[in-house]
Amino acid sequence: MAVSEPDRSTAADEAGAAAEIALLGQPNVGKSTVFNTLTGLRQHIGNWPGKTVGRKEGWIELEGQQQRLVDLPGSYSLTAGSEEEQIVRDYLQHQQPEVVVFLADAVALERSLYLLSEVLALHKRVVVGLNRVDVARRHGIHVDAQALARALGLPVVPLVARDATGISELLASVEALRRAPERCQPSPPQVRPRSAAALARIAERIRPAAPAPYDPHWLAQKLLEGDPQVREWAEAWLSAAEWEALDDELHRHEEVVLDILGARCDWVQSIVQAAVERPRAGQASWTDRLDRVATHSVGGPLLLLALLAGVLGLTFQIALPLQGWLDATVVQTAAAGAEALLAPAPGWVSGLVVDGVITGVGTVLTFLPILAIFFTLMGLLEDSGYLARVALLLDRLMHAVGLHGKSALPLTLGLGCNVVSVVGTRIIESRRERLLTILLAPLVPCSARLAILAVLAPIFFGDWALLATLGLIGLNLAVLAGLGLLLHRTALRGESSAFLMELPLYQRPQLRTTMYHVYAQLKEFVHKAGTVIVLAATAVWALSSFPGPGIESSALAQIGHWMAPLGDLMGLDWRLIAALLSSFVAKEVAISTLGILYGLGEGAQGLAEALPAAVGPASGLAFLTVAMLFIPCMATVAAIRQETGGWRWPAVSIALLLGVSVLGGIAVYQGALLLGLGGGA
Amino acid sequence: MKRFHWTAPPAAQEGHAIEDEGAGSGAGSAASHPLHELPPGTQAVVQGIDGGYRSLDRLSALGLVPGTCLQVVRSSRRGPILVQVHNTRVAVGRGQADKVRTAPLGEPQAEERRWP
Ligand SMILES: Nc1nc2c(ncn2[C@@H]2O[C@H](COP(=O)(O)OP(=O)(O)OP(=O)(O)O)[C@@H](O)[C@H]2O)c(=O)[nH]1
Ligand SMILES: [Mg+2]
Repeated sequence: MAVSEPDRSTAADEAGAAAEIALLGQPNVGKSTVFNTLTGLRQHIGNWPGKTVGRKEGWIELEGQQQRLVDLPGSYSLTAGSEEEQIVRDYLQHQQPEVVVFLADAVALERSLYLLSEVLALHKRVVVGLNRVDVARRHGIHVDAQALARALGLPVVPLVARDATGISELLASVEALRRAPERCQPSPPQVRPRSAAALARIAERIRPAAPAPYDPHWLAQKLLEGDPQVREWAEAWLSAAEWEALDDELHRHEEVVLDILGARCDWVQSIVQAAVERPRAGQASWTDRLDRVATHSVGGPLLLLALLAGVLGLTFQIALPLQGWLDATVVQTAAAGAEALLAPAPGWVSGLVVDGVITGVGTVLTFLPILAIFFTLMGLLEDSGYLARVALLLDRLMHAVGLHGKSALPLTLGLGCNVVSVVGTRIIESRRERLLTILLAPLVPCSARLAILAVLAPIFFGDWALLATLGLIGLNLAVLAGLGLLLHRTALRGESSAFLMELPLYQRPQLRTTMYHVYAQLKEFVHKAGTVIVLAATAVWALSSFPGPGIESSALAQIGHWMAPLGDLMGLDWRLIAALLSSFVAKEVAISTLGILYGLGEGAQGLAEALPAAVGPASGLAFLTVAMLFIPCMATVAAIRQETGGWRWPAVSIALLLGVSVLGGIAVYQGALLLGLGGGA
Repeated sequence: MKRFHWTAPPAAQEGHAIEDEGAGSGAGSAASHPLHELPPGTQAVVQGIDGGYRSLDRLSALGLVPGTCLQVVRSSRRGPILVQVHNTRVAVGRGQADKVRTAPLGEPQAEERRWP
């Protein structure tokens, strides 16, 4: 998030050396869809603006040669506002791709052309992919590709990226352009002569100081547009006196910005008039009908609640029996098999494999059905376009904590994984709001914690499981709101910034796209189980088995006993404390730790029997409360560090959540005791 | 901070307007209202943008520029306004909506206000 320094070294080194093709366009136009089709990779696709963060690279074959293809984040303009805009324009200037494939939206051509006019100021070798012609056709909009190509002076290829229509023509066009770059004869917007003179004078002032690859004309234009980053650069490049003179000149020509914007709009308009035929009468589309309910001030929030409840309900309904079955058959069978197989080996080997790895990782792997169904349902909601409406619905709530609707999007995505929401905060432009959202993100119950709830709530509470689950989720959201209010009043004070967001048209979700995404997420989960979680389970097993004899004299028990005073307040014995601590590695590890600690000595018997005997409902409730509110997992901490550029904010996040979760645990345990729920172990 | 008043030049005003049904019924003539004062269903043409550099950049990049036709889909006393512009939908926070000066094109369409 730090102000990115213009990186001067890469420009000269890489220009020419790495001839690559770049995909550019506004958010949600279909860049990643094209990227995936061309490279066979699986970038995240969904129907809301801002999914791709940072640039993603892959390889394609062009004329028998491997060429690098770069998928860039979407942006609406190239004035430095958000990080994404900076990424795109830095990329264009420093990397100087051989060809830019600019994806335009046939449905909202004006918006695409506005961005294109800015791109053309930095790069001329552009092929325009006119995407979403299927949706345009359905809306009765006809874009004449040939007329568009003539008006732009650029090759134009109509596309339906969603079903790969036109992709080979697009490649052919890129190849043709590489052979004959002179085919591009764009005529970018022209400002009025008086403004042009001012632009030229400012360009002259900055020319001597501007390092390669920056074009003085472009810099002058951005200065007049009030671009904060270019202003910073200019101030650094020029001497104090020179900067003052330049700033003076900028002040005198302040109104030129209107001419620059006006010229762009006129340019866009002239091209639209040449190429687009509009529908006569607008018939009510699906989006109209659905939005009448989905964005209604009463109906909207109700629908949102119903959908989320539906997703959770359906997930648990379908997945829990599967989960229990997997646990009972696969894990137990594997454990029994391994035990028999390892009988001749020394005792600790079988202990490690059976009690450590199989119990630990096995329990985590039984989460798979829960995650698969949850990710699928969320993915369908995402691809339908509904998810973006959450931003609109929650805008008012978000204002209460000094945020606005856009923050609701990354937070909602946090239901899948908090890392995604931390990285997803890039769509938020104000630094203060971004930090606040990042600090709140770990309080969104992620799928791993939902799975923990799904598994443990029935064990602890039997028939009351559903109520407890909803209560715990509600508690998390309440704490999120409370912490938001507190931070907004104290450390991160400030007004919410401007809320302006495009809401995509609804579309029928594509099962194939969603399933690829689900598959990628599950693969990552299995991979995590195979690496981090195996290690964690092994470590937990070792700590709980040595020096021995018996679990009560293990190293882990020692650590647990130190924390006993705190644990007593929350009704947590040392094993539950150990499970919580281990959840820092990954939330799921809490389950594997419980499996190991409660399963030890009793053979692989499954948590379902061992836990209720050992842990009373009050302690169970306190445990789940702390687990739900606990410090972010390792991966989330790493993401926070990366996104905030230092250790300060991860440390703040850990400290805050540690305090919140311990307080929550104490309050819930003591409250539960008062209400007469059975106590600790 | 500098606040601009960006208005379409008179010549452009008609050229910009997108030929929607109902457009042309006297664009420049009606009194101007900030976007958030328009009742749901109203069609209007953007007359001007009053705002600083950031707002000008954001609004114009999303296509909310002088001369553009839009229709208010959803608007309530508080919270963001949902508008239909360039065949897509844009949620506009109240702060931003205040910066968009519009001229309504006739009465709101009754059909738009009905529950489906
Ligand atoms: N109907 C239709 N939908 C499309 C087409 N191309 C892409 N989509 C859908 O549009 C949505 C956005 O596609 P993405 O490829 O994720 O868009 P992007 O440009 O990478 O978006 P960001 O990374 O957020 O900037 C997805 O739901 C796609 O399935 C198309 O030609 N027709
Ligand atoms: Mg993308």
